[in-house]
Parts: sequence; structure tokens; C-alpha cells
Amino acid sequence: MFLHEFKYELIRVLRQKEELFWVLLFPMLLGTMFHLALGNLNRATESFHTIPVAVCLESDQKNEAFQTVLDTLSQDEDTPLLKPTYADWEEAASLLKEDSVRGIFRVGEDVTLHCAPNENDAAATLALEQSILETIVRQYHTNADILTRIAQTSPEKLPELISLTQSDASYGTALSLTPGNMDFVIQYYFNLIAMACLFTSFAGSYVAMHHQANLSALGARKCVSPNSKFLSVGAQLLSCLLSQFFCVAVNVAYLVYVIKADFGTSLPMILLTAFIGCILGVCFGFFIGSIGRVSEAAKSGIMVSVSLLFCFLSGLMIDNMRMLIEDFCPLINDINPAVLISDSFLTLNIYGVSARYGSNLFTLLLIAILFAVSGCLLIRRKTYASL
Amino acid sequence: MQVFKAFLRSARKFLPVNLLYFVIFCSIAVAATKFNIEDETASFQTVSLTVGVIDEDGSGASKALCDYLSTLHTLTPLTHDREALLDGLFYRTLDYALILPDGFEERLSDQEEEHLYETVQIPGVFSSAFVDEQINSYLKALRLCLAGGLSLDDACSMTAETLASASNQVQILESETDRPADSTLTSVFYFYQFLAYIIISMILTGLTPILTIFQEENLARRTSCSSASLLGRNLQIALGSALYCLLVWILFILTSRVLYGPAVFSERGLLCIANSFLLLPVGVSISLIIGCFSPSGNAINMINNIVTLGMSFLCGIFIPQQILGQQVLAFSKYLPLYWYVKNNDLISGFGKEAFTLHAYGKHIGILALYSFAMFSVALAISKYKSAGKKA
Repeated sequence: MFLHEFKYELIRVLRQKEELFWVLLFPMLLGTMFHLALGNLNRATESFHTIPVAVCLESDQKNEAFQTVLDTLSQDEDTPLLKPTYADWEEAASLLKEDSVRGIFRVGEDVTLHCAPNENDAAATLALEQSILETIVRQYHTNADILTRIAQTSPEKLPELISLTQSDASYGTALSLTPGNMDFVIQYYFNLIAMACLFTSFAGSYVAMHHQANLSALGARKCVSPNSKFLSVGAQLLSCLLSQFFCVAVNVAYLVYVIKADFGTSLPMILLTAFIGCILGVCFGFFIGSIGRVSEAAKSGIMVSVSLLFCFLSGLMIDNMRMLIEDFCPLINDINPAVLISDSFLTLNIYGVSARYGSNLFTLLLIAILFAVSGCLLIRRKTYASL
Repeated sequence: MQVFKAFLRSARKFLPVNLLYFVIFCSIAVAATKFNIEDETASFQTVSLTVGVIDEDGSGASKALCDYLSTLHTLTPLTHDREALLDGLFYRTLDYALILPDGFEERLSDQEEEHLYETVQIPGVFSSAFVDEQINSYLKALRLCLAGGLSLDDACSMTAETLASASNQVQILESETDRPADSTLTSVFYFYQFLAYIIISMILTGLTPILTIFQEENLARRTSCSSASLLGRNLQIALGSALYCLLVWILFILTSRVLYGPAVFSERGLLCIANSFLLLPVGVSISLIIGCFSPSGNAINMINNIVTLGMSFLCGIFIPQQILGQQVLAFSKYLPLYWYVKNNDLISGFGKEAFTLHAYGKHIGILALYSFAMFSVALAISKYKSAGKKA
């Protein structure tokens, strides 16, 4: 009987287009939209790039010291820091106005930096570029000031100091603590898979609703059948878990092989995490489906909204939402299933299999058991005087 | 007004679910507004980042460097907790981690050039290059002082002094706009930007099921053979829809008033409100088109999520239009919410375009045209379907 229920639940899932849409198609569509909308995000806002700058030389003045600084910063073969365009003042101002350059170095005996106003927070990259230009001018002025002061007390040291100012030494060493993918855009895909896992709740809800005689005709028939309810529910939940996991696995494959999202870990580990996520999703749906006499459409609406709210708090729509919640109320993150799933992916990506990963999976399983047991308690031993 | 009454009765049936949506959507809008505001920057000022510091040396020189950095950035003392460090870097709550190893002062005094400090940074990221540049600039100045014969303490003082006196090197070329930055107003702008997602969602999830009831085949046949005229029936449904949308809209305007106070009814706040009013015909027309196909409750949820999340991502509600790729923007110009966000950017100054009443009116006009076009499409589908049934 277990296998019979298992088989027919599989067939039902294949015929249930709405469930397939939520778990199979919707994440793919959203993943494609992420790829389109976010593909440029990191490159546009974060990646190291050359800053275009206009240099306006005042005709009667020469400033070799600053010229050396400019030459040093614009001569790197791969990605130089600056790309200077030499122009007169009017031309430079028009380049700045049309946003072709980020600032104008007006070079005479003194050096001044002129920038366009930067008034909105969407232009964070521009602010950073302007700040780098400001640092360059500040360094020039600082060095000049120090040289002048020392020249007054120890003029013999001036040649050595000038050669020091021309050195382009870097005093630091960058350490790499992880081979993982640190591009924050990847967390959108982590959350997308978390959302797909939570959307498996529709299948769980269907199982619960179709085992209650007051909610569906099929439930009424099942209630009068001699078949064990526990066996029937168990077989159907297992069957829908496997079918839903298959759909989520297809989504993972789509993101990894088609969208080329770098999850920073091996496919089996991603799938294991997704599988635990699916267990939670199915149990969550089973619990929601067991509550009260609410229509199927309303329950489906509640599941979509609650799942999306979980994912929103986890960062599906705003990237650093999870860390903001962590400062504001960390308890939410500790029990939010979407955070637990996406954090498991993050942990795999940055730290590999670790205690934190294990703890996340354990919490997910614990919440899933809680939902499953509550759902069972809600639908067990129900009798109806009249339907 | 029987149809209108029936509309209200159906709406009442969906009231608990709609109230739940309202609470959920309100929480999302408020959270998004509250947290987005953190990034606000006004006119030019040097970018301030969050720099984590592990000072293993604890010497005068390392403290002087930290003091200098604290004038530019927010410094966070860190321990050797790899998880806290990498989590912070991944989520960008930390932009850069600086490690000043034991013996930093000694190596500095010995005029050593390499490995003075260590950093953990996000590879290939611009902000890391910025902090690197500032630290190198400081150390270079300090080394100049040391080479000039000063003691370490004097060198640190002179470096800090000269760097401080050389600050504020940027001269703003154009006069800034006469629209001062106001954090409450910025919250209002974010709220109204996010409102597009919320209102369209509320209309699609709340109104479409009611409209679908009237499209139900048997009910439609019964009404069409009654004494009520088709025009009267349609007008009553339109009145019900308008009432529903207005209530949703007013509820959100009142919510924004409660959250942000009188700033909502300032000149720019009112422009935002007027802009958001155009979301109602857009939402209703999309709802009418969907309703024509008499979808089930689940199908409405599906379509709603595709339409609203899709438009929100592509039109710049979740991610600013300034960051979206050119190809994405070229496509999203064909979606109504693109023009809504563009207007919001115009009012708030989030975009590069300066505010003009002409541009604002033009975008409002485009939104109205979209609504009109979609209403026409809904009517055409409805006509086509009813003609099909008669045949």
C-alpha cells in the first residue's frame, strides 16, 4: 500500500502544473531575471577599474613632481589607476559635465582637484572614484609640505627625500583566507534556491489538505478507507519530497551550468543542502495545510507571502538585509528557514564543511520535525458528524 | 446597484487575506525603506568605509596609524575570528580588514619597505584599493619624516598634522541643486519607490479574484440575461474596482504619513503621491487583463509574482536604474514601472537627470498612456472572448 500511495503521489505531482510552476519554472525565471539585472552590478559598482580624469595644465607653469605622480599611476600595464586626458579648462569642464571624466586636476605651481557634485546614494562608485582622486592630491600636498619643512632644517637630505617620494612601493601584503566566491551577487542565488526549497511547501500542503474530510472530497474518501492514515501521509510526503527535490535540483543545475553562478562548492554538497531545505519546505507546507478551514487558494497565498517574507528578510531583494537583521534582532536569523538555507550555502562557499554548516542543517531538520509533528497532531483522529 | 453590492460582498470575503497581505507588504516596505537609508550620502565628502583592525603590535606607531584612519573611516576592532571577518567582508558590513603585526613599529623605524602590514580584502574591489592608497600614503609621509631625521613620535605628529591640513582637496565645479538632502524625505522616496511593487501586488492579489468571480461562465450568463444593462454592470464593477484601489492607495498614503510625518505632504512628497496614484490604473488594467482569462487562485498568485517581481527587478525598484545594464534598461523602457521609477528618481534626485516639471509630466503621461493601452487590450480580449462565446 505504501508503494501504491508513493507511486500515485508522483503521478499527481507530474500532473499538478501549478506546483511544478512554483518549484521548477518560477525560480528559473527569477534566476534569469537576476542574471540580467545583476550581471552588471558587481562590475559597475565594485570592481577595480581605471578612473578617467582630465588634466588641465596651466600654460606658464610646470609641475614635474605631480607629473611624475600622474605618470606612475597611469602606467600599469593591466589596469592602471588613472587614465588622464590632457585638455584646456573649457574642454575639461565639458568632459566633466558629460560624465566622461570623474574629476579635473588643474596643474600649475599648485594642484587643485575639481569634481562634479555627487548628491545621491546611487552614485556610490562616483563618490569612491572622487575620494581616490582626493587621496592622490592630498598625498601630493602632504609630501610637498613635509619636504618644505625638512628642507628648512636639513636641506642636505632633500635629494634622498625626493627619491623617496618617487618610489611606488606598496607596504602591505594581502592575505587570502578563503578560496570561496566573495562576490556578494552570489547570495541572491543562494536565496533563490532557499525560495525554491520553501516553495515545495505547496506539495506538502496538498498532502495535508487531501487527508482532511472537511477540506476536500479526496480527503473524505481517504477518511472512510481502511488504509492507515499515517502510512498514507508518510508515503505521500516522501514521494512529494523526492519529486520536489528533483525540481529544485534542476534549478540548481540551471543556475550552475546555464547561468554559470559560482556557488564556490561542489554540486553534491549544494544538492545535500537543497535536499534538507526541501524537507523543511514540505513539512512547512504540511503544517500550513493542516491548519483550520481556510481555502486552498488562501493557503497557497499565505505560503507564497510567508515564503517571500522569509526570503526578503534573508536578502532575496536587498542584499545586506540579513546582516541588518543580525544587528537588529539576531533571533529572527536564527529561526528563519531561508536564512538557514542560504547561510548553509554561504558556509560551504567560504568555509567548506564546518560546524556552522552542521548546526544550520541540524536547526533546519529540527524545525522540519516540529512542523511535521504539529501537522500530524492537527490532522489525526478527526471525526465528523456531518460533512 | 446589485452588482456593486455583490462586488463589495466578494471583497469582504477576501478581506482577511487582503489584510494579511497588507501587513506583510507593509513590513517589507518599511524594512526596505528603513535599511536602504543607511547608504545615504549628501554632497561631496570623502567616502567613509568600515575598516576592521587587528592591532597585534599595540605600539605608538600602530596607534597613530589607527588614529589617522579613524578620522577617515569607521574603525572596528577585530579579533582573530575568521568567520566574523569573512562574513563581514562577504556581506559588505566590513570593507577592509587591516592587520598590524607584532613588530610593526620596529620595522617602520628600520626603514623596511615590505610587509609592514597585512590586509584581508575582497579581491579586485575598488574600495580595497582606496584604503590601500590611504594607508600607503600615510606610511610614505611617515617614512619621509623619518628619513628627514625626525624621531618616530615627532614623525607621527608631523604626518598627522600635514595630512589633516591637506584635507578637503575637492572643489565642486557646479553649484549644487537647491534641493537639500533630508533623511526623512529620502525615506519617503524609498517608501514610494517600493510602493510600486506593493500596490501592484495588492491590486493583483486582491482585485483579480473578485473580477474573476464576475467572469465565471454561469454567473456572466445569468447577469447578461438579466434586466441590468451591460454598461450598467460594467460601470458598477468599475466603481467597485476604483473604490478598492483607492482604499488600498489611501491606506498606504496614511501609513507613510504615520511613518514619516509631515514630510510626506511637502512639495516633493506630494509629487511622489501624485506619481503613485498612476499605479492604480496600471494595476487595475493588468488585473483586468489577467481576469479575462478566469484564472484559479493559484494561477493568480503565479502571474502576480512573475509580473510584480519581474517588473521590480527589471525596472529599478529593487536595484537602482543607474546600476542596471543598458540592455536591461532598453527592455524595461517597455514596462510601465520603468517610468514610475524614473519619475521617483527625478523627484528624489537619485538619478542623474535634474527635476523639471516638463519631464515629470512627460513620465506621468507615459504611465497614463500605458494604462489606457492596457485597458484597451483588456477590453479587446473581453470583446473577443464574448464574441467567441456567442458564435
